Amino acid sequence: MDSINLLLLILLTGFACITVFMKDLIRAALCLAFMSALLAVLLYRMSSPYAAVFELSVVAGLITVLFVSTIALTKEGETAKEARWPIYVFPLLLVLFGLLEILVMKNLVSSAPITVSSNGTVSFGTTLWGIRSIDMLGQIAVIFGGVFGVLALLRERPLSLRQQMDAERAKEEGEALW
Amino acid sequence: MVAIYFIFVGFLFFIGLYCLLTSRNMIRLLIGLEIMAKSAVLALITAGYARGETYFSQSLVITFIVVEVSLVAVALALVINAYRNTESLDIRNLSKLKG
Repeated sequence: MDSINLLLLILLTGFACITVFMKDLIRAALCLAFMSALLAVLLYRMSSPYAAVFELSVVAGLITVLFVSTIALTKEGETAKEARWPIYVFPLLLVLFGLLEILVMKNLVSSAPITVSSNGTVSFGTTLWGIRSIDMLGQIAVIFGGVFGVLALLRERPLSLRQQMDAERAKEEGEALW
Repeated sequence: MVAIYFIFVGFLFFIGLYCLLTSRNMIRLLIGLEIMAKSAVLALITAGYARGETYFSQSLVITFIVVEVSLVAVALALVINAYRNTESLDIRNLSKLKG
């Protein structure tokens, strides 16, 4: 195993811990973006450049923008007080989980079947647009589902005629005052 | 040494799950979910890397990322809606959803 990949994995896990226990939500979101960038570098080093580009542009870029916008919109109401005990219990649980995982993973991975490489005959374009072309329909459906879901959730109730008149009157009074 | 990659996949999944189970802030819950999603991406790519089928695993990851973005967008819209109603991001204030 490449030592740089190992370093990237350790950094990824470290930043995940920092993200979870960071008090400031904006900084936590930025740590998450940095995690995505690290993961993109790791994916690139694991011969997956297309996935790395998607991870960097969509996850590190778009999702971070969504998180920061939401945090900015809800900044005043950030009243959810977190309990302190998860920080103290976390290292112990992580070590226990690690020990258990090392025992399980060694047996699990060694028993997994390994196939012969098919990269030499099939290109990424053929795989994505040919073999997995039905996935595209699913992706389009998911994108539209997301768009209409957001539109439906954030829609404003239309004002009644009286409410419109009240709003206009309030606006005129405000302008006169100004 | 694919096992080492999968050990770190497990660590990431555990950290995300821990955040999901112990946090009360709705945005922090989504951050935990994102960390779990990253572990899933790493698992898919590692499986492809080990089997020499990176194209197939990359196409799966791209589909997964599209689903992830839609999920996060809708979930954040729900968070904003909940914040408008309760003036708080605390998940315990959503008790009105109980039957």
